[in-house]
Amino acid sequence: MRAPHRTARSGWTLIEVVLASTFTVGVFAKAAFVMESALGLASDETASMHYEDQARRVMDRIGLAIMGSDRDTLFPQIEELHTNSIRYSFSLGLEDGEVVWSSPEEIRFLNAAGTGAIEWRENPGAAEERRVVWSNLVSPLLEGEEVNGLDDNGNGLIDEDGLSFVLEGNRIVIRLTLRRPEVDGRLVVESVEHVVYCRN
Amino acid sequence: MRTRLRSRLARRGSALVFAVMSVMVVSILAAGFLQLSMGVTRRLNGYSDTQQAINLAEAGLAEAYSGLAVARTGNVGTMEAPAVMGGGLLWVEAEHHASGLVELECTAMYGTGRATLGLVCEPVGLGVASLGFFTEEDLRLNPDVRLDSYDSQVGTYADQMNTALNNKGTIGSNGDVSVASGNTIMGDIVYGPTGKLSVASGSVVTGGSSARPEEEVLPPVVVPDIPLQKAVKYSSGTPMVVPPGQVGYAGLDIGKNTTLILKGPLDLVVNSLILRLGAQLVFDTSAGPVQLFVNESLDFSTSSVVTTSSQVTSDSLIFVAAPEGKSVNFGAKSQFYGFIYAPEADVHLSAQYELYGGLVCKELQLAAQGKMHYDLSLGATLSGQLPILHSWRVVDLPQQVAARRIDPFQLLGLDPNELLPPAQSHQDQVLDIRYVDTDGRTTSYFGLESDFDWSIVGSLLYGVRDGVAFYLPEDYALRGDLADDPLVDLVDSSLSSKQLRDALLAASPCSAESLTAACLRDPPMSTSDLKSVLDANDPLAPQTLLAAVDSTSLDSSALKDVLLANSPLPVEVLDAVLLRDPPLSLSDLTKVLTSQ
Repeated sequence: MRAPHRTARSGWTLIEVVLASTFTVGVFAKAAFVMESALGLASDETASMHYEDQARRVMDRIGLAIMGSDRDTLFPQIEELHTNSIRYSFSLGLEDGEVVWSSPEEIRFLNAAGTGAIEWRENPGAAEERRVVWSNLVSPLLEGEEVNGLDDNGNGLIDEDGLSFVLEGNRIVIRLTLRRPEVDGRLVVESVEHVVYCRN
Repeated sequence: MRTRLRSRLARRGSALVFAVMSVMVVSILAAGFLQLSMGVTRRLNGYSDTQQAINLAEAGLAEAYSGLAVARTGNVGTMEAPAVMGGGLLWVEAEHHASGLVELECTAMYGTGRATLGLVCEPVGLGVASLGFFTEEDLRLNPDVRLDSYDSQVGTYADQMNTALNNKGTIGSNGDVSVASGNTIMGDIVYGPTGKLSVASGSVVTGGSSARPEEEVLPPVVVPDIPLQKAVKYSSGTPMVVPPGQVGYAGLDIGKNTTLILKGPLDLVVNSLILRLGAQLVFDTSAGPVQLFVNESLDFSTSSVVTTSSQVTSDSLIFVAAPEGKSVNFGAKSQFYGFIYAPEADVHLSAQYELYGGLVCKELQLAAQGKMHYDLSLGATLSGQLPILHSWRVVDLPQQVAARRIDPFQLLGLDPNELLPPAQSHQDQVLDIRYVDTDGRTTSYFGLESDFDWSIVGSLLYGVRDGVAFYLPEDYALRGDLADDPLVDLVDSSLSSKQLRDALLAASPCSAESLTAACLRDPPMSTSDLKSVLDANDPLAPQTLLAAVDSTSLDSSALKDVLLANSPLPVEVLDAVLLRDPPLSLSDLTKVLTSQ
């Protein structure tokens, strides 16, 4: 007896082809979906991390500057209310046996055309003024706040800017919100709060 | 052939392709997430390392700052041998300024974090007066000089003779110190870092001696900017009175038998001041202190007189800003209660110029039989008072620290197990303490702090670092349990048997306590040395005789001689003689008993 010719019967039936194609498309579609989600998440994470980093860096600079300042030289001196700028002098150490203090410096919030920035100024208003922008991603208002005369975010402050200072004795509470729209239209918002004590 | 074809056909399919693709997709995703996770971790670690380094720097500053309150130098560790704490390391550098302010800078390293913080503070009560009697050059004392101490806030010098406070003098130099025969130094001697101490036989030094860890820097005299009137040569029978305020003269020449009264509160600046024969200078501090600034020369002739209206030593201050090489002469007859500061001058002090207070100068010529009594209240008694904080700041990182952000132990090539914590990393100092040890014995230590084991201290009675008292209770002199006999301290010191013999002979008659201590000394005195001391102090008190019987220094013959010299003996001494172990020889015992 002769063995049947298997080659003639090899290959997929139409049903097999349809099923295989369906499964293949399904698997690829799922993989693409997972990839896209993962990349989106990674992108979110990266953006969030980036802004959190920047917020922390800026906050550290502000915090250290104010920590080293003389409480009596802070301006404005208004307690309990929020301001969006602060002027200070800090210790430079000893020179000829005397404590030397820096020329006045200022950290302030600038809001122009809906874009907020933090600007540091040395000798503000003087001829030899120097200025550096520490960040230009500052939100016009602190996270959760709206201009409506109410305390929307429940922090006890009303309509505070994206950078705010509150003096409470020797304590200074600093709040900062960075905000930036991504290319895909998403809005990344990062807020940090820091409490420092004037050490001088 | 057909079989091979069939086999190849049976292995046809695409599952492997899909599987490989799936694995690749998953791998790419996993690698991406891993990368992301590592980035997050790295950023968080970097941030927390920096925070930790700031905390460590704060801790280092706090350690140095609180150290200043107990007379530490403020230096904690070094970059080569930093202090280890909380997995990081730190060191503090202190810079002492002439203005009295101290600048501390602490650098801390933790992981990749680095921080340097600084503060400026003012230790309470520190000053050059805490140096006691100090010369920048070698100090050579002439024979028969007495240097001791007292505390003017406790009472008069006379009331404190032979108390514990009489025994706390500090003699110091940046160079050598030579103690001549007949000198009585009631206190400690601190010579220069590379200097040496020589003590002649027949002198008494009741305290310890040590090299200071580093040279003392004497700040220059800051003379107030007061306009100088023309020079005055005064010889009227009416006293010349300089009124309170700020007054300056190009010169003051006070003639024979003429009186100059300086009425405080007064800052007086003179280029030269001369007291001629019989002239008198009075520091009238009844209404305030008098500060006398001398720019060029000062000459108090031998038969002139200097007096102070009160015994408050901080009220009468003489600052000599004479240029280097100039000598100033205190030849007057005086019991001067005050402080003399002449960082550039060669000071000549006559034997009749008895100084109660302190003296710091470049060179000192103290005449034979001169007397100086250091007032402890002039020195710093910190009593744990924290320094006054003037400012705090963030300091730029040193270049060598900022350069490489790797593990600090690896960077500096250090083994954390070989480093000390901050509390034990303070710069070494000369420590002078009296304490009750854990066995309940009262004892003293004088020497480098690094050689002292603080764990044996049960309670501290007083403590001094580099001449600055960091613990001295106000009732120290009044507490019977603490008011030690200076000669007992002498016996307990590290003097050799011969040195101790000479010192005790020079100080004879000695107290019963000191003789008792000498009999029971460990290591014991030699037989001949102890016998010489006991012979010089006949008759001996019963307690001393009992100690002599128990002494390992005295052999049968020497003890017999001592007992015979003090016969008839009290009953308790005779009992002790009979029970002695080892017993007296039969012939010696017979002689002692027959002499009763």
